[in-house]
Amino acid sequence: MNRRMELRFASLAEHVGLARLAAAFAAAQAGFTAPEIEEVKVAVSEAVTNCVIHAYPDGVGEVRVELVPGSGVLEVTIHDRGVGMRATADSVRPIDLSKGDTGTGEPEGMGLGFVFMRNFMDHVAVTSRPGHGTTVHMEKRAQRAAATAAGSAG
Amino acid sequence: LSSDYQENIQEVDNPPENTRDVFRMGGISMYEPRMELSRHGRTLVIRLGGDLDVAMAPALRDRIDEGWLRSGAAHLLLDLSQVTFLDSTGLGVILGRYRRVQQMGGRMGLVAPPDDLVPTLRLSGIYQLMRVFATEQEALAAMEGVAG
Repeated sequence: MNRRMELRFASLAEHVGLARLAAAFAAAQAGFTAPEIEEVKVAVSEAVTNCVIHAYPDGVGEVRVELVPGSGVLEVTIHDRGVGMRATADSVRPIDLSKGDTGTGEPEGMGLGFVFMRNFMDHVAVTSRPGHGTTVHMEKRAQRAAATAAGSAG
Repeated sequence: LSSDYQENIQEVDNPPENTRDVFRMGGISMYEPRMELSRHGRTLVIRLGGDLDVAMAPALRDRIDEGWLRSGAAHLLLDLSQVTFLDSTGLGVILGRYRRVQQMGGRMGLVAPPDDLVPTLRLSGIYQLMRVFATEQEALAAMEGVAG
């Protein structure tokens, strides 16, 4: 039985918490541990925050969050129909704090968001077309499930 | 001065915990951050609570800056023990405060981040930038102990 769920909401800052709550719920359904759920929450928060801040510079638009929990695996898709990204995720310079770089551009923290998505999820793909919106697709596998799979394979 | 200051802070910056009033500013609605301020010597300690995300960031930034400037303190400690969530937007607010405090010749540290927040903090590299203390006592001793 597919436990897919979908959330549609206006791109308002207070709705990011709603997306996190749904993501935590789906991650729990997928059998993730508490630290893994926290990682999913951060990754989803980052992707949805990008929609809220960047997708609709002239107002408010729709954000769609799709969550597909499986057994030990979670798929998340975050989609907006906004302006799209001028740069791909790869060309967004991450802020390297370890070198004393605290970043100078606005908004603060931009770049670090992608670092969190990449590190906390197993797979992150960003597709964007200027004027047509952005889709962030992420997948995460539970450590326990990964260990079991590796064990049975070997 | 310090006793007047404490009274002011209680009145203005310490709303009852159950009033997470939503208000609007600049078209973005946000929550009032939960924070308690106390001054110890030359150090201002701010205990933060709740989710430090994009909904909270503008008010969080303004309230910390306002509190720190009004306190006249040299150094700033952010106690994260009651923080329930932190992402890059929340970290951006912390880093922005770090830059301000440094520019004014002060020092800044973090206190007691919950285990949930540690992977995010580590990945951000913030541990290379500022000290993270286990307790407020330990942090205050370090802040006040160093000449400056």
